Amino acid sequence: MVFTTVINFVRARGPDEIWRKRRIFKLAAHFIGRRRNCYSIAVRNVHRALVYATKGRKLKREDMANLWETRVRAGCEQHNISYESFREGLARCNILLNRRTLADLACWEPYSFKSLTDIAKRRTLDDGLAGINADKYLDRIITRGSLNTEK
Amino acid sequence: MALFLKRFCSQFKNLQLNTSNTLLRNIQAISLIPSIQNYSNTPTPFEVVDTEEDNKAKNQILNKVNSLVADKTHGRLFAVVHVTGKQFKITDGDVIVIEGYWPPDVGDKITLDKVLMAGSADFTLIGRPIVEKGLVRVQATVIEKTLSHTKTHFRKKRRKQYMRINFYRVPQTYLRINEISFQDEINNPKEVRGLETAIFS
Amino acid sequence: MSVLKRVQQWATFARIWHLYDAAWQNPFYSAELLKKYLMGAHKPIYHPMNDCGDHVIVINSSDIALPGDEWKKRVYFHHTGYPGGASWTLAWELHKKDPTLVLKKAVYNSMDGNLQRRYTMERLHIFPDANVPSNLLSNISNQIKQLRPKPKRLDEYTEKEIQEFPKLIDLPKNHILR
Repeated sequence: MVFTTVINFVRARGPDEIWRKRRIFKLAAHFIGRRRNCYSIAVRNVHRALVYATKGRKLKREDMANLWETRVRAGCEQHNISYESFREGLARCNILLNRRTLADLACWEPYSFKSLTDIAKRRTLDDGLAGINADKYLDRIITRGSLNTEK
Repeated sequence: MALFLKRFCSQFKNLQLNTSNTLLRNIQAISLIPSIQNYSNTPTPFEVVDTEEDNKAKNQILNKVNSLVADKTHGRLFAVVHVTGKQFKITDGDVIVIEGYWPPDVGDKITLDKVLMAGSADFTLIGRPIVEKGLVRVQATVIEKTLSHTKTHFRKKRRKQYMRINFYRVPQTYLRINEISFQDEINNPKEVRGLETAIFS
Repeated sequence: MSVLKRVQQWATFARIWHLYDAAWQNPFYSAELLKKYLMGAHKPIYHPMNDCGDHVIVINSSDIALPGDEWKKRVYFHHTGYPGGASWTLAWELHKKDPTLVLKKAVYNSMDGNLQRRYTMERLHIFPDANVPSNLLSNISNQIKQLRPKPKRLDEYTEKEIQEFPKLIDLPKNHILR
């Protein structure tokens, strides 16, 4: 006897199921509880993890920029100049060091950072920008207008 | 004027010097901002400049630095170099990673020309924006050209049946900084300098 | 590590005790200033995971000055957790009960609400007057500059200073000041 209808009740889910799910479980190996062992729970959480990883790359750049800025602000404060005046003074002198470099210099090259703050102070004083009081010490920074000359 | 700033701009030679010994010069503090009308009675700030003393001080500093450079007694040098839009603070023996498309191949000896700042423990040269070409020589070798680890760009909008996944690997170049050195005297440019690395076709 | 480098490392990462006189200062502006020192954001080596915060001892917190009518209007909310346990306390009432709390809450609320906040607050020591225990006093190596100058009363000036103060006119000897 041949039973032709019974065979229709068999639900075949596809031969590649194991490999398809293995890709998800590999990413979920370090999750907690059922998230690493049960497919339908794991797949949801793996998707969330991947979305967070994608978004995190941009956030990491922003966080690093913030950290660098905090460090440069701390360095500026040690030398009695505001961060905004510092950046403005350097930009006007055509010194194009970015936040990362300035933070590295503030940490590792304190004398070079001090000279940068001196240059910025001199320039803000010469240009009449707010925030810098003419100090006797600033007379010792000799630039004699060389910061203003443009070639 | 007992003490002077040890660090100075590399464009020091652009000073406008007068022939007279003493010079009374107005600082263009107010004229730089023409839109501001100054009605106060305070006098325009000025400073008395003695060119002889200025030159003496300048030459004193330059001689000290040049002697260090000539004898190579400055010690370890650091440089802030600009490559493919990013700035790196490097010294001898460093390995830096350059992400993205960069033609130089493995084993190529590279000279990094855009030096924003270079210095030692005793002095620094601050470039506006770069230090004079050919003055600081930064030599590097390409040691490896690989692709980064596979990064996943995964986007999903919940409940909207929108899910996209892309895998990408960014080409990376590893650069070993061989040496950083000063080629020449500070503030004394040779006629033909910095053209050793230029390619004439 | 060489001896010199070891000393440099120790000096860079050492924890410093600062002193701050809160008399006549606005606690909310002072909080912004003090939180920088507590977190270590005044150092170029700052990183939230670096544990680089310093200790701050605040004295004369009973003499703080709130702006405008905040003494009468500012309320501090507290809930004990039990039903009917909500209470609204005015600033002057809280100050009477405990003169250090207004400044402490100001610093606490000025910080980011992350898990590090409670640990950072441990490094803040507030005293209502200038009586600081001697073991804490002996640690102090820096004084933080006040944000606004503390005014001096007339009787706090010395005779010499009063006589040397520049005058516009000399009043006649038989003039009576009311």
